[in-house]
Amino acid sequence: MADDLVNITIDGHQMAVPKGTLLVEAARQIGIEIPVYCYHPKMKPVGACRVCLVEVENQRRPMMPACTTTVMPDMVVHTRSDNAVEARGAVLEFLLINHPLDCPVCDRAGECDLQDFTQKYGNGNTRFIEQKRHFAKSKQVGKNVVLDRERCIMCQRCVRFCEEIAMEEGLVIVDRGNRSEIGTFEGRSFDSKFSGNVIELCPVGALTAKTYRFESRPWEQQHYAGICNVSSLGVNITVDVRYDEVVRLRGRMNDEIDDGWLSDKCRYSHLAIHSDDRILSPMVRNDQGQLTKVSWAAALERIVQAFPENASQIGLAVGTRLSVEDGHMLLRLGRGLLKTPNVVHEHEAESLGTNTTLTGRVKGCDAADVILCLGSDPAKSHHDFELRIKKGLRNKARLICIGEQPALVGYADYQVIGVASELWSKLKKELKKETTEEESGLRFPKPRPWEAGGETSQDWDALVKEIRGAENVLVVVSGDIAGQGLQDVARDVEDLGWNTAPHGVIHLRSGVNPVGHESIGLIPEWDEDGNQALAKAWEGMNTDSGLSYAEMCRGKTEMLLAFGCNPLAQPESKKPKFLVQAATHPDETTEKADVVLPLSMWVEYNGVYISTDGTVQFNRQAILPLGEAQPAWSIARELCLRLGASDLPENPRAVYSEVGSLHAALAGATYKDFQTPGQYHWSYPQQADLGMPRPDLSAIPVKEPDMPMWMPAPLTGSTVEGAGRLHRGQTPPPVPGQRDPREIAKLLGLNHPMDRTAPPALTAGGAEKKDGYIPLRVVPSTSAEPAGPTPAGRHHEIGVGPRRRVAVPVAQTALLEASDAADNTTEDGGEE
Amino acid sequence: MSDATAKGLLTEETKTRIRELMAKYPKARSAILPALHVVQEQLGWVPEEAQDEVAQMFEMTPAEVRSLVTFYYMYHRKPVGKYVLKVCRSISCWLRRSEDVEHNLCEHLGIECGETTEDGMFTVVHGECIAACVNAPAIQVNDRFLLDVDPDNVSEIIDRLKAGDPRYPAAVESWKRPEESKGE
Ligand code: SF4
Ligand code: FES
Ligand code: FES
Repeated sequence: MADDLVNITIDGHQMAVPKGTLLVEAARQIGIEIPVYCYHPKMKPVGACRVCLVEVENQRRPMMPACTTTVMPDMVVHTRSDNAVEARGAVLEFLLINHPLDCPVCDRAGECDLQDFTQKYGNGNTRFIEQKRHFAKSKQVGKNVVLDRERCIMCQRCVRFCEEIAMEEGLVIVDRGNRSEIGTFEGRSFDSKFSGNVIELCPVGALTAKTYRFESRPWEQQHYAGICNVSSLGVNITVDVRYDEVVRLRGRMNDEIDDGWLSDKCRYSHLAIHSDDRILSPMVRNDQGQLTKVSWAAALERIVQAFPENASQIGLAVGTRLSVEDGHMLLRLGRGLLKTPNVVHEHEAESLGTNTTLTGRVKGCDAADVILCLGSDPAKSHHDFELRIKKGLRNKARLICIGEQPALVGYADYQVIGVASELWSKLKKELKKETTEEESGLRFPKPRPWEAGGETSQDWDALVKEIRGAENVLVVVSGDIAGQGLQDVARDVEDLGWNTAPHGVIHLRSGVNPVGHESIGLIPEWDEDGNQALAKAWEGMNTDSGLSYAEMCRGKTEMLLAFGCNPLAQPESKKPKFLVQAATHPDETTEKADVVLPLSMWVEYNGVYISTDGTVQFNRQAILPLGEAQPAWSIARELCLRLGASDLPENPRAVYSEVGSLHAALAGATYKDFQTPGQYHWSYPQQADLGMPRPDLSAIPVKEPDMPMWMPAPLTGSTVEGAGRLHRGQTPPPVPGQRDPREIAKLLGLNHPMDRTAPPALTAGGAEKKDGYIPLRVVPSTSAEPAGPTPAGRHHEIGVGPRRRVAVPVAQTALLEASDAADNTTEDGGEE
Repeated sequence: MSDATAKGLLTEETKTRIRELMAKYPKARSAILPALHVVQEQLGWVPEEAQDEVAQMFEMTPAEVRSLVTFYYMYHRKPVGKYVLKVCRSISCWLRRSEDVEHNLCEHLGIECGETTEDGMFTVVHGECIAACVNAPAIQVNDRFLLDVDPDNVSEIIDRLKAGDPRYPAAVESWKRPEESKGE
């Protein structure tokens, strides 16, 4: 053990780190920042930019790049010595000679590594008096990626991302030397499924998003920790809000799931939030067959009156984009109060039943020997999973595709096209056969299919041999495995002995939160034994088996309430007698619905989502519901109230606690489970198996800087997360050889922004009613901030006040306030 | 472009030569640089369509090939004349009036540096040190050297090239030891 550790000294701190650790990582461990541009923890170091130079004692060449140098026994490293400071300053001066210094119009300003490091370590001057290199200012290199070649510092992060991580055609360096620029093959557009990642990776403002250009400044934003609402992978995101508007989504590192990357499908999904066609008020179809706006009260009244006598004639269909809390309140409405057995989520047909345990996890790709795509095509359905598979391939995994012709075929070591279930039973038999054959000879490494000259093999015997030699197998199946005749795959995998987490079967579900909805029973069959607590609490609830989603879509019930789903888009669908839809955007169902309710999108309320591999995650509310929209749990609650229920939970936190007290699958769950950074992803079954105590900490992780400050970018994003970025309540550490800007300000008799007191916060209660409307509150600040002056207010105090105000009707605001106030006191108060 | 790609710019002969090169290395992609030279031999330059074809042969992305072609200035990215006169402008040659060589050549041919004469015969480009400093100033004409060039008499070079003598310039015209050339 001790052999694997190396003793080193960095800036006088002695430490022992594992052999092979890079200096920059070692320094980070003890909180010493070494600036980096080209280095990125998820990519191979290249040592291209040299800003990370540090002084190492007793070396022939004392200045070493910290990002490519690994620790050596008894190394003595100085990051703040005169030599180191001078070297860094010199490198920065070089990097800036061709830089246009156009920070005032640059999107990156405020979260730019070049800006931050120059301010901290730069010489503050330049000796370059010659003509700078010029390029046309912006060049669209991809559908949504705009390049400013003048700002580029040639760190090659973007190039390496395309080559190493996405492993596909993308950005390259064109030309050489001082003429180098980033580009694509002549005339081709950079349209990768993952193109947005390079924008986040770029440490400067060279690569920018078309959707975000000139839209917002980082210091005007609040950042919220969210969960992607596009696929069931549960990819972690950061939701950046400018006043009341979501301006961009970025990746948020979760090593278990996304590895820090984010596919474009999710990255730009926020565009739907503020799109013009959002449904923002309740509507009822009038006698002329047109939808007309009505008040919430009128719409709900209409629904309550339409409930048929016979409860089993009511169906409740729940979209999987809704949270666990939404599902729970709808279950209460359906089974508990209306007493109908028909409460299901829209992808219930894919359910494997509650008795099957699947051990496959997304991170299982990393150490897998074989990744077996069985009749599934992750590249099409779950974009973010594709990158994880590619990571596996780079490690050691062989990719075997059986059944479908997958989009991933260029990376497959073996592929056999055919009927997945038939091929699987053939494979199973052959794997179970005892073999006496000896593995003979050395295996010469052949180039892999994705390396030039490699080929995908279709050799069945070789494939079987490959799987037989594998220890860790990850079987990837698509959502609809019953339709493919593969419903027994989990049992087979157990027989084969592959079911040790994180390997085994991973079932890529459609939708977003189907697993969450299943764990609280939104499937046709009702598990009476497992739900005794529920039956006791909701006296007289319906415990029969009900209709499937497909049956509901076919108009089997007189009345259908569709929450966040589109039943009339299903094949053979038929409109029931009375159709209610709660929706965010109009679709086929909206066209025919008798009552349409405005539904909040995921960023508009707190909620818990369970990903396809069983990871339970919390999505933080980032903005208030737009217009009159309401989250599904709240609509369900209103309906419950009108059906005579009392004692209903009043906010998502209370709903989730109720989930924890009533559902066996999530027993004991509360929002406290998510209260430490790193606990966003916390799988209940796993935790229970390990007999680990539940973490009990006191504040919901709302702000993202869960990384120590002044760290080189630990996340995908270059800067915002850590490097050089000041967050509220933090003062910059002194930089040797540099004057404190506040002192300079004092000398000049000025008031430095950092010393000013923060402007008075706009409070929730103070808003005045005007014509029956009150202006929307500013999104409540989300962290427990120290009272009084905030020393580092400089990033926040510019331009307080919403850019545009959205009016919210009083009735709804009252409703909101009630739920929110309760929500906020517990969360924002910090302590309980 | 798709039309040209469909037909292909590269002749079978070129492709065979490239395949032979690929077979020489454990990883085929190691042969990419010589392969591009083969392409340039056939076409005189390396057009994008050809880059695309080469990328297909090597199973590389076309963008990667473009990156290489643009990195190495020996690959021509636009059509060039029959003779490419690469005038060295590194220190030794520069000290011995390479600037005049270039200026006079261009003036004589009526083109700017980097351009090609209308008849498609001559292209003048800059070059960096071609390791012939001993005989500075030097010019590289296609794959041969012209050494100890007289800046004031460049027209002679053009005339001799126009005459089309296959032995001019000679493979290496005159490597002289420093002592020998001293007296000149
Ligand atoms: S565009 Fe950005 S990420 Fe790409 S090389 Fe330039 S600075 Fe680096
Ligand atoms: S050389 Fe080390 S970060 Fe670029
Ligand atoms: S300087 Fe011209 S050949 Fe070396």
